[in-house]
Amino acid sequence: MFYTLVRKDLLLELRTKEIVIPMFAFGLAIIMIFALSFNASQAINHAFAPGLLWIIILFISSLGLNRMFVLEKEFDAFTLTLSAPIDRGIIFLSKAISGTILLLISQIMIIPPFIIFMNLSIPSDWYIMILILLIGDLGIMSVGTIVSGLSMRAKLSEMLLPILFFPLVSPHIIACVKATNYWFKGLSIVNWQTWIYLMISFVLVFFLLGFMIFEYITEE
Amino acid sequence: MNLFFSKKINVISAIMVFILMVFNIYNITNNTPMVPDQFWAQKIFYFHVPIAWTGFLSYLIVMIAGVLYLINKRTIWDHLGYAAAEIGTLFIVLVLITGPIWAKPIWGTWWTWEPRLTTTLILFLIYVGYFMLRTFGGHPERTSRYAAVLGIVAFFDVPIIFYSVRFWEERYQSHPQVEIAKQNPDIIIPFLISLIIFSILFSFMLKYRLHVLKVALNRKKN
Amino acid sequence: MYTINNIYKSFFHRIILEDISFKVEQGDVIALLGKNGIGKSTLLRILGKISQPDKGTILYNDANIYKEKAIIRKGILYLGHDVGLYPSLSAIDNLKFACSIHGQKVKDTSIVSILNQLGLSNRINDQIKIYSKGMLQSLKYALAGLIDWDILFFDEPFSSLDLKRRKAAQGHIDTWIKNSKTMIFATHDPEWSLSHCSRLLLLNDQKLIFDQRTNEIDIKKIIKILR
Repeated sequence: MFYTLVRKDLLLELRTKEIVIPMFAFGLAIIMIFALSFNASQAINHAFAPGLLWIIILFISSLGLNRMFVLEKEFDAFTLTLSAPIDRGIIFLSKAISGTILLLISQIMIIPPFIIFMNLSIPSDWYIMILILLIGDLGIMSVGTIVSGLSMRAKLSEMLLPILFFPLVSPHIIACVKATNYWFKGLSIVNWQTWIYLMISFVLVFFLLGFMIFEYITEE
Repeated sequence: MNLFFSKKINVISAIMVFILMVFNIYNITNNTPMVPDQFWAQKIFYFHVPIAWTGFLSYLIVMIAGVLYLINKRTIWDHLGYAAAEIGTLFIVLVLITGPIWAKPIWGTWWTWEPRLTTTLILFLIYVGYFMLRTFGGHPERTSRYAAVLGIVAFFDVPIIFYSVRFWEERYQSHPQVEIAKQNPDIIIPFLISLIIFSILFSFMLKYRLHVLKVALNRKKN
Repeated sequence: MYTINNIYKSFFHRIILEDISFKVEQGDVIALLGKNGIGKSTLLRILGKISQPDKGTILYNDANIYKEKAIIRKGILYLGHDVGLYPSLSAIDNLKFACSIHGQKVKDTSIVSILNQLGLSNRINDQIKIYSKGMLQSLKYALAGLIDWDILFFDEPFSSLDLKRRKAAQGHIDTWIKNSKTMIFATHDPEWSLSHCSRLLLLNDQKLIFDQRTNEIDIKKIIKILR
């Protein structure tokens, strides 16, 4: 059941391309504006890059989350999933995982331009960064799915979602930025593993919370 | 008439709370010792900390009311959550105001990303979202449920926020407030008195808000 | 089979449904009648567990659909007033997905054949957002034809259907009636209800004011209430 739901979300994206492409375009726009406005030296870019990267990820996640739930609202399609004999917690998990996958795809697209335009030199163990991105995305999408569910049916949902989303996810972003920063400086993961643990605990807490509480979020 | 103050007991309570608060201010101004480094600025401690504790207690109430509302859907839990959120947010705003007032003379700066203050700020932002959800969430039966969920989620987020910020900026570990238990009785006793009086104020305000919410609901139903 | 007990529902503090109770037996073909906006769709959404009542319980084969795990709701099919399918997916993708989440394995050939039956053969792989309203409504019949359901909740079965499609739809309904399937239709067509349904429920002023077998009914009384 879970795989069916995730597969459906990914199939929808394949047909509409309404999520990953806008997320990538938006991210690119922010990078351009930042690079142009600040036009800073490489040293300053290196100092700001981790923070800026996660700000961009946060903004494009907002966009992606909104789009994901708009797709469900069209033609009242969400009713199909709700009326089926599926536990609501499973629906939550599927949305969070689909979101993570889509976010990862747009991140992979956005990171090369980011490196190029910010003129960055990155450490050789890039697979650690993939790990950071993966755990970071899971955390973002777990809280994001909860908040999207709450704001989905509201008036001004595009405005309500970021207002609810950003403060709740801020501790996780702090951890992601710290981890990225240490990785960027070339420090071995052993030195800063506390941040990874913090990120993982965030993911666990909110996945559990979302799973238990999604029933009440989808009530009409 | 459904006025809160048409009931004698509420008028008496209001007067008593007022008297207690005046006494509290007098007590703090006159009966507390002067701390060597901080002088008058330190007196804010007797307001800032009780208000902070009461504010956080308020948010605990929002969470518990949220859980109870989701379980049995009785309106009283929804009203309790909403009233506690309102008063809690008011108290948190006071914390965010008294914090910098205390900080400026001590640290020379209005704001710092110190763990407790930062957590309080983020919590305030979460509750701005809470009130927006209440207003724009849709029909009241739905927003009550959503607000309950948000109250629960916010409460679980707070310890995570606090620990994240604590590890984040190691240099901001110094907080003017020292361990309360280690202070001498001259400080502890007025502090406890202030804490009790602020809790009484909180309960009174909560009772008032619950009354207003109930009257508003009855009016909407008719 | 399906027991509805004391359902209450309100929006913006206005009561829409008050103390609704009735029992559905196996093989019942029920018409839920009422004026526009009276709450038929709301009640049907509650029966399909899309909407939750403020008070009341619903038992499906003696299991409380709100307390038990979701799997006990297998066999319930809800077809709402809106399309309830993804506009950006094709008919085949939509139906494959719908069958899958209802726990039903279905072959592509079965899907294609039922779409052909409903006159949608040359649009199978197009995104359904280009379909007309009548075609979209027919898709619901395709869904009901593919999934093996025990009880069907159908909101406005004939909405947007032209004569040809309506005849095809009626054919499907007749087959279901012949197979003694249990169905509840929300409709405001009393004549059709009288001739095709075994039981009529009438919703008015927040209450279920009428619940009788069709052979015991005086149609003039119903039409007067619906005016």
